[in-house]
Amino acid sequence: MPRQHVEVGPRADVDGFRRAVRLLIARDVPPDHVTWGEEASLVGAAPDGDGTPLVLPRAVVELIERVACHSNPERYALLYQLVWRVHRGERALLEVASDPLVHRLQRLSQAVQRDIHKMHAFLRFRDAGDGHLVAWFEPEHHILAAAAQFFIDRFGALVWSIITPRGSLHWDREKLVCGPPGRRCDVPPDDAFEAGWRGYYESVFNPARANPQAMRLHMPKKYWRNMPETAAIPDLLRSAQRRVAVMMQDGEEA
Amino acid sequence: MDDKLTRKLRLLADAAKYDASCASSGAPKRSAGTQGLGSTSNGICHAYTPDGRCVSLLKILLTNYCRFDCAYCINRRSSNVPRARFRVEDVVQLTLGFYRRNYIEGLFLSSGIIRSADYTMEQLVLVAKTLRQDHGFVGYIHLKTIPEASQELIAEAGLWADRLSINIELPTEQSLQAFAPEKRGVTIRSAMRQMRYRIDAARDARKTFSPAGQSTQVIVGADATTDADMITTSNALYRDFALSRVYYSAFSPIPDASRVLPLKPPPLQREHRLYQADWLLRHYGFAAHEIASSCTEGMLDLDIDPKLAWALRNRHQFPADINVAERGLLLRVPGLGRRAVDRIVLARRHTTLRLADVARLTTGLRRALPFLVTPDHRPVRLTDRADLRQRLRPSPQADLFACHVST
Repeated sequence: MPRQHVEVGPRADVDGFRRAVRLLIARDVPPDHVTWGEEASLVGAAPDGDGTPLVLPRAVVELIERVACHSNPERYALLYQLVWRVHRGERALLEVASDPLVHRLQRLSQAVQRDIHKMHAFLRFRDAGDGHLVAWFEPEHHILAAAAQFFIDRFGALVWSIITPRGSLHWDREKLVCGPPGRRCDVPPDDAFEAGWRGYYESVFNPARANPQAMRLHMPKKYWRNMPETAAIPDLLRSAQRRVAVMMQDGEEA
Repeated sequence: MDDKLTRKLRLLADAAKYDASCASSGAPKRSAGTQGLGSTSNGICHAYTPDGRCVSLLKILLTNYCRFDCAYCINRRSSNVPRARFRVEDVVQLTLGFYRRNYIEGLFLSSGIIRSADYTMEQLVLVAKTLRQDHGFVGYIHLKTIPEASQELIAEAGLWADRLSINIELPTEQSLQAFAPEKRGVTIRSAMRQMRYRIDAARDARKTFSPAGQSTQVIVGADATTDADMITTSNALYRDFALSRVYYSAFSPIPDASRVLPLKPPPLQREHRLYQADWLLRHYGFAAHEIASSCTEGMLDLDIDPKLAWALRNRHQFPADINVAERGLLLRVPGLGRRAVDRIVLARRHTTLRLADVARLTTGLRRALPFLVTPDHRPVRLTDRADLRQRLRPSPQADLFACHVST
């Protein structure tokens, strides 16, 4: 069988992948005969039409939607291997977490999940002055669309924009508009609550329990530059020992 | 935010940080839509301080003035810390301002006792009510409850808060007498019982009352209570009052410490081991007496985790065959967490698991090996080794333990 090359769209093109997979399965093309690219917008979208609809278990569909967000260029090839095996009868394949392919895909999925979670956690809005909240965030994967609903649910009554190097989201209390990528300087340089927030962050740190390794495990350094409170970290760590020594000395003298 | 408010915030956050609870999960799924502000989540940590603990809620005291004189508390009457007091609208403004900027999941509000227990509780309730009613705030709210406050106030607190908590502080009446002379264990436990009754009754009637349950905190290392006694106490608390969580707070040096406190704080590792033992109680099917029996002179081993300590003393129950052992036994294998066990049980329906497969299902294989059988691995000689404990002890490294966000 001749090798096939498939182009899907850039970022997380689940629809393009779905169309391509229908076609490939209908033509019975095994995974090792397919190569994948992500430049469909340049050469035209993947062909539509003659593929047969595929019925896949819900868990497989969800995994595809998740893994498609990953920035690893191998993701579509791996996902097609999964679809191929499930279609050929391994319907419960995802239950075999020890299978090398499933294991690999689960790890990609977890990385995407973690990226979304960290965006929900570490993104900081600044008030542009007129009540319009604007945030700059740098996700590692193509998660913008997948992360949006959280902000709509939480801040539906506010007007906000989220700017990233991969695209932007704009909410006007009614509808979500996805826009082009932006730059950090599109976001206001400061916010009236940031000094107070930094003060809060400094105050809840307990110098007697300094554990920077645990902090970095949960809040890797790559996020720090977009979080206003992290500027306080070096000083907090530098002064921790001295502060504890003073407390212990006071205790002995009491 | 003006400077005065910023200064107050610093003081009243500093005063609140010794309460270990940081959970923001367990509340029913809510979203304000386009009407109010906020939603609930499965618990999000919005930042981590350099002590490795998470910042999820705005954790503050309404005031650090206090009529009580609890030796372990930085805010006790006889301490010379600077005092401050928030107005209700200060706390409301801070909560909304921080929440809108995505700094926090909600509010955890506690207070020193001023004027009377009822007056203080009334103020706490008023903050929660104002947030909910006047501002349509649906984010997470945790209120510290004052055991001496009247039942009407507790009943109202539960309408606005997602979680209520009453701190048990110290496990025995003698310790309370020594360290917290104004507190009574009987009063605390009676308030917890009342709380359980209200939570259960509301659930049965499909009404909302403190939907994320109640929790408590106990101070570790201030008195002579052993770990075995601590775990036995926790077990009784979970059983009698259906607590969502018991938090363990290793007492740590504070400015202007009371002289009745021991000079040296307990190792943080002790707190960590207590949390692990607590997890074994709630999620791994261990009984309190099993954990107590694997303590040394009443104390959990600091150098190995409590599950490994139990397994080393109960080697006759192993090895477990990964392909046939019951879930309950797999949960007792050192190095296998709950999620790994779930994956094993699901995967082995479809395939026979070999060692390489298990390595893909858990990151704790090294500790698990002496206790597991697979078609290509039998640990018989390993399990009988007298030096097994030495071989399995983790290499010295900083404790990666952070916080306990999940309920």
